Amino acid sequence: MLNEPKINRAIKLVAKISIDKASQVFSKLIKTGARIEMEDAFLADITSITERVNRENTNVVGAFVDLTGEVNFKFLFHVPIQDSMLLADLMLRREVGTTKEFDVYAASAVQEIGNILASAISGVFSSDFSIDLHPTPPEVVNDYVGTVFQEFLVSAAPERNDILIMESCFHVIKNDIRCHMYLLPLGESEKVLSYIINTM
Amino acid sequence: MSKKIIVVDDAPIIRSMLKDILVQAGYEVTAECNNGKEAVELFRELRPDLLTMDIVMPEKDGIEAIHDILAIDGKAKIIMVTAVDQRVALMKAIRAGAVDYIIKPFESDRVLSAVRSALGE
Amino acid sequence: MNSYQDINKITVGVADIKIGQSPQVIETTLGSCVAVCLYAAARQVGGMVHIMMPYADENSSKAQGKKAKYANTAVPELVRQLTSHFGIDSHHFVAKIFGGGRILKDFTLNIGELNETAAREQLKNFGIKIVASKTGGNKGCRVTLFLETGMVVCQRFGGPSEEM
Repeated sequence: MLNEPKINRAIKLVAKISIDKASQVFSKLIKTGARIEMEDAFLADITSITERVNRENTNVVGAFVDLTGEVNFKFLFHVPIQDSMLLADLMLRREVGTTKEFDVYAASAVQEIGNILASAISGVFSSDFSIDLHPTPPEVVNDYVGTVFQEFLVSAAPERNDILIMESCFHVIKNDIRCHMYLLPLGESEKVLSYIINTM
Repeated sequence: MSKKIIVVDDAPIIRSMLKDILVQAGYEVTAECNNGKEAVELFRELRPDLLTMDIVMPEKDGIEAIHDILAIDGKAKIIMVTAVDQRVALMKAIRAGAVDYIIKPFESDRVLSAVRSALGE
Repeated sequence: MNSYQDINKITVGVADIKIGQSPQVIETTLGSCVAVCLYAAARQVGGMVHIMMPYADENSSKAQGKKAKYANTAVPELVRQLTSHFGIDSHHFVAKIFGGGRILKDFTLNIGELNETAAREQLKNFGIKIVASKTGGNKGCRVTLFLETGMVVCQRFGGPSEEM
């Protein structure tokens, strides 16, 4: 079992490299300045974190991706429903505000951003840590943020009481879009982190 | 007569982006679909000049679809459209017979140069 | 803004138990998890547990760490907390059950249905009557228990609010 400072150091390293890469592809995709910041990387108790999320009164669209390979991760990207429409407009090079209702393109914008971000992260693992990961096609769900987040936990770590979370927040310049991205290492997380620490 | 293209991707927004670029450049997008299985059926039926093909898709992925399409017509032209850093999958696609690839997120210039080159224009 | 939000609202996380008394309000959001609400009208007290899994596995130390996580330890723990804190026998309580949906299509195991079955079985063991339930479906729901009346408002995502 690794000690907590070491775990945090490894998580932050992975998160930073992944987020830098994700930031570049995200900006290119939506053709506007975007900045992704790591909000936190931590070992979270499932009860405390979901209590916090359940207090939010937001409806979101989430893209769930499994990163499978030598080690396994669960990835979630979610964005408030209203903002998914702005993202669709940006991707389709339309005037922002054109999409008035949540539709197939708004859902698909989130699906594709999830796919591209998850691929960018798996690319970082491959190039920087020689860990091959393959993303599955994203599953898109629109629901309460509490529901989306808890389904992520239930599918990722039903046997664990605390989980490693890399949480980041996206800021899209000129449009106040706040998206979140989470990456959870599954069962072999300690093994992965040991490996990463040894390559640092 | 404009060249016929089928766009294959499980994300409707990517299909729409590609379709806009191709139609504006004078190509005819005769069909679009969201998985490899349907792509094979559409290819058999419509015999397009070119397909753009995603790799990661449900039901049948892009690489399996290339094998099936090339078994129908060994001269079929397929361009892979895939998310950044899927190098391993991309190499598999090229080995399977794809003529070129486009990395998502893409610029319209890159899409058109790949299409023109594949069509020998 | 609803008036209850100005008073004492208690939020329940996953694998969590919260108890309280009138005029408090207890709320959670559900997907495949199940919420069991217990209420004793005579004293206007009650509680809610948010269950994540049907049964504790072989390693009981995990269940000891988070009794609220597994239906077979969560329901007894909710009953224990309510009876010991308020000094009321379990037969004074009635139950309402919510959640147990199937939100992710790719998740092969129907964990929601298993959670619901396990929770109902536990309530039966305690002889606690289930007076209302809204379970299943493929969308999440927000569940709010008003301890003044015992009423539960269940709002399925994209659907109308139902008072139960």
